[in-house]
Amino acid sequence: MKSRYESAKNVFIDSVDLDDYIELDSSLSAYQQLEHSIDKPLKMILLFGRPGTGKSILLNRLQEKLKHKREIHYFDTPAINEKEFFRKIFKVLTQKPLPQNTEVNFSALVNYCKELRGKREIIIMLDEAQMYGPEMMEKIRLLSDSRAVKFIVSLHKTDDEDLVAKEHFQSRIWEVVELQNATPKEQSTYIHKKLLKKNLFEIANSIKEKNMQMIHKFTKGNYRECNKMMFTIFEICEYYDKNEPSKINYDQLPKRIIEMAALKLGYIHV
Amino acid sequence: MYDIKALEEEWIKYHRKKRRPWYIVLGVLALLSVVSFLVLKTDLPESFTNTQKTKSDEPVAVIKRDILIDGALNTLETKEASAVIDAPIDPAPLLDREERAPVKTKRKKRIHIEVIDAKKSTTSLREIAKRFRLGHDTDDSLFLAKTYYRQGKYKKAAYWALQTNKVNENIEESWLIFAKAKVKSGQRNEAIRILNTYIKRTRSVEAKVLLKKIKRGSL
Repeated sequence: MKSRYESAKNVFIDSVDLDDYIELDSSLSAYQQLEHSIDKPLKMILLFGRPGTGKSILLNRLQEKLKHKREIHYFDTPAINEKEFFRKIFKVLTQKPLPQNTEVNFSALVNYCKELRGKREIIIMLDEAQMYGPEMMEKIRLLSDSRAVKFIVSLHKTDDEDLVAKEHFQSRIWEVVELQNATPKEQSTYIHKKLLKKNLFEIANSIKEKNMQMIHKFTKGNYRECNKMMFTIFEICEYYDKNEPSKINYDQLPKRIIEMAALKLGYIHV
Repeated sequence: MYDIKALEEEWIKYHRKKRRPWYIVLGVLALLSVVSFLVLKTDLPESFTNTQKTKSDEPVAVIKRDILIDGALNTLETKEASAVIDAPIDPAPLLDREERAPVKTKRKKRIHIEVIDAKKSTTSLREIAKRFRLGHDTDDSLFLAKTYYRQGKYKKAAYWALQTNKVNENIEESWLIFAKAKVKSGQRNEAIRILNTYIKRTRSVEAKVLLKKIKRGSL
């Protein structure tokens, strides 16, 4: 027999799926800011935030919303090397694949872009841009200088390297959109909305305010961590539901299970 | 699926560790309460004894109060007077009722010091006389005059009353004792003369009453 917690667990599988997108106040504000920035005559826009703050899903949503209005392209994973990257760029710009056994001449590409100025406005969104080296970033900047290509660069904010990267980008006059971790209230709304979207009302109601506070304390409002935590919680619940139902309170998510999940994920230690 | 049993055990350990500070706090509180209880318990008999002591010391406190009120002389007066208490002497038959009341109060004081023996009292009187010669305190001399008068030693009483008058001629009690002592020593006329002189100077009612008594021979 399928446990009620199995569906709940699957709700929190970490994926960039637009159907699972939960619109929160902060994400809505970031989206509007990004959309507004695109309309400005900026060459590059920096989307900035810690891992798991919803950058990728925001870029996806932007592409989904604007794909019929604008020429917008999303590069989800960084290219293995420079050659591969320019092959992709070539395809976007010329709308034709690069012939086999040929390489892109960067100067010719820049000139081509300059010719496109005023004719087309191409938006390229680069996710995980911290993976690109400084040399490549410099070439991207040169392409954006043509004013025909606008780049939205999504960057991780970690403690060391990305701060340096941020400084590098900020030396140019770009728009910066920063995403933050969720507040306790936002995270609570996020969890509830996710469950309610899949009609899991009873389970959503069993997660009380105190449970939400605990979850926020462990995950620090990070959406990815929150997904991991909720997945683990429901997996433990699923086990008890199937094997030892006496140990689970269906009306209220036991604090013990949240702590067990936190132990499992290494948020707390014995 | 995880190894839930292992995870449960880990959680039990974590839970114990999490509660440890509370257990420590509770333990310390319990220990403190036990210690304070024991301390209080051991203190109780002591405080009880203290109360008893205070109770038994009460007469002492009274004497001390007397000293404060009347000065050192009164203490010694009462000590010396212990021998006199038993004697049926009314020191102020001439005084009216209002005045007798404080005399009675003084008798009450004497009760406390009845245990003091006469020898010691004599020594005390000598000491007071010695002290008077050094300090010329009229309280000392007046006390000696009153004490000797009560003891029936009228010459000595008259002497100390005179010494008092020499230092301060405005102490009425001293004049009255001097006159009464003179009468008792058989010098009635001398007493009348002294009282007349005193009445002329002060117009004292007490002195007039005493004079009448002496004249009637009812002293």
